[in-house]
Amino acid sequence: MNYEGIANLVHECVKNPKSVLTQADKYDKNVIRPTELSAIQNVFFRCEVSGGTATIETDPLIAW
Amino acid sequence: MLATSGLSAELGRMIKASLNADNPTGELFRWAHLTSMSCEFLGGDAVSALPGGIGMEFFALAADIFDDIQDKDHDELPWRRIPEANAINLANCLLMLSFEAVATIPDDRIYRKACTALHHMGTMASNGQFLEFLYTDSPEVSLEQYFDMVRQKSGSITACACEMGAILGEAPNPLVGSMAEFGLHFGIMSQIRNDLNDFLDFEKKKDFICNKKTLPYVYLLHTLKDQRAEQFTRLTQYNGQKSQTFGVKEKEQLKRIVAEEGVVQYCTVMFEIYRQKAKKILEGIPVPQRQKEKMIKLVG
Repeated sequence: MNYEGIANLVHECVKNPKSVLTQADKYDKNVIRPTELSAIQNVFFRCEVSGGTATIETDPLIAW
Repeated sequence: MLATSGLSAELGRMIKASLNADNPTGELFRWAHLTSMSCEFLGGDAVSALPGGIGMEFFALAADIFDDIQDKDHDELPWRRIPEANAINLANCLLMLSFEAVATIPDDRIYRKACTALHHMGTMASNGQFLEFLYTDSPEVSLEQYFDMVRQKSGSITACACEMGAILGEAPNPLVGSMAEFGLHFGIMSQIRNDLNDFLDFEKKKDFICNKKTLPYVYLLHTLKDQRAEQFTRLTQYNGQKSQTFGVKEKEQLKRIVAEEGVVQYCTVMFEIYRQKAKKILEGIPVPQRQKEKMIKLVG
């Protein structure tokens, strides 16, 4: 996993959500894997729906 | 086990008071539960997982005590309200009880596997704790170093609970390995959640002012540039004895950085990536769907 690549992309998404996510194809699949890109997109989609906040959904872990 | 172990009444009482003391969710003996769940998941009998579950419970409590002594937090917990030297004695005793519990496994072959898993976990967790302490004084820690440290410090313990359950359920070696891998990812998820929740909890935790390299901290170290990076660096310099000077103004500055630089989003993304990895492992294990449900529910 490319931890730095993921952190950089998330930071870019925070600063400019729309332009980065619409240009998702430009990312090298060797740097950000499709499943990782999908996780990023899902978090930012949820963030947009909830009005700018994203939180870890911890219910399953809380039950443990 | 405690009644027959020859411990003094005082130490016995201290152990009983400590078990489940750090339990905000209300679920009792969660380490034993994770071990037995893993055993049942692979078709084993929960009763046969008991020695491993009890061993895990003692071991994880000892690890928590050592961690709190190192971090000097959780002042409200029983082991933080006794002299530090005796808290160390308590944790050492729990480690020995953990091995005593595992030694009650009747089958020698299974005992040897369980014991190896427990020792390996102990080595990894200690190494992870060692690295964490080492990184506290280091101005530069990469995300790769952070995840490697968390794999060892936290992932190894959940990995061992799941592996132990699989061993006691007499699962074949490849499935034992898969359960350990699942537990590893599950432990990393828990650590990401704790790191994020504790980052701005200045009342109970000293993570930030002690320069503990948590995920939010390392992410900010990695991504901030120019003036923001300088501002963050200044905030990190209120450590240790100077904690009283990390006041309302500084806390507000840190909260603003967290909100504007995507700390929550990044932690959520990493949590989600490890959740997907954990779920994929469970889905790939060839057991009936009804046996999978409880474990899958665990990761959501």
